[in-house]
Amino acid sequence: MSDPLRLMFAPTNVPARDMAFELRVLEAVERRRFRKQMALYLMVAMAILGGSVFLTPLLGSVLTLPALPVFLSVIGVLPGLFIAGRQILSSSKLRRPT
Amino acid sequence: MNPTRNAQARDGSEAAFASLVAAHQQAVRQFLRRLAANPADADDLAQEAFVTAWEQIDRLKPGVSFRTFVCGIAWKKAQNDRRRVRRAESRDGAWLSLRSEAETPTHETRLSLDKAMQSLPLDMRAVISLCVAEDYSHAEAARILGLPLGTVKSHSQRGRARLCELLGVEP
Repeated sequence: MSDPLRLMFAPTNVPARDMAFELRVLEAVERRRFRKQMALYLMVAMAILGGSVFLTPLLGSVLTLPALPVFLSVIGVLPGLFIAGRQILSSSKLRRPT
Repeated sequence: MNPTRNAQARDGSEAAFASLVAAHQQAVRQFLRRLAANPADADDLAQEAFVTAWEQIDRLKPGVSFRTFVCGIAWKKAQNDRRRVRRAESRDGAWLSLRSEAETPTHETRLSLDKAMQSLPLDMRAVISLCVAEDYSHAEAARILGLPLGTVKSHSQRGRARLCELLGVEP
């Protein structure tokens, strides 16, 4: 038995696929994602800046050491060595015969 | 319901979320077009609902379909929009009351379906949109609207009776 009231509700003219609308939604999602990431980066940058400003007087005696650049350059090289080591290990694994 | 696609979207897959948008945009837009004042507003609300669904996708529980989840968000957006419109109307009301009586439109003798729907309270209109105009079950409508099942059933019954009365249809 058909429902007379239901029959009065004509289907709205919304197509099953609407690329324009889908694109609009995905664009809005990307915009929101970008905004959230920018807010996060800004927050981290502010935290680092605030932390360094706060820590500078406490680390005053260390920062005035004449040999500090030597230590910093050594410390700065360490991540590079770590990454290079990983690359060498992974490439040697690839070349190893099975 | 596609649990795999829901899980992939929850894990951050853009392709899975895009396919969910493609699959459910029609349902969400149809639902909102019956609640909002015009189709453009309804589409704006639908877009906002999908963006919020993307933000809150980790709240999508395993047993719940994405359609129910996003329609629930769309319903909250429609309620907020309704409040905004009401505030604007009450602001404009003061100015309209200054106009002469002759300028205000006369009542139409016959109500169209849209006008009959507009005369229903928003909750009731939402229930009618889901359960009469579309094929949602009472349980799914209750989950979407956040109302008790009994309330949904009574809204459906009363709304149907009211519409039949306004439109002159045999119930």
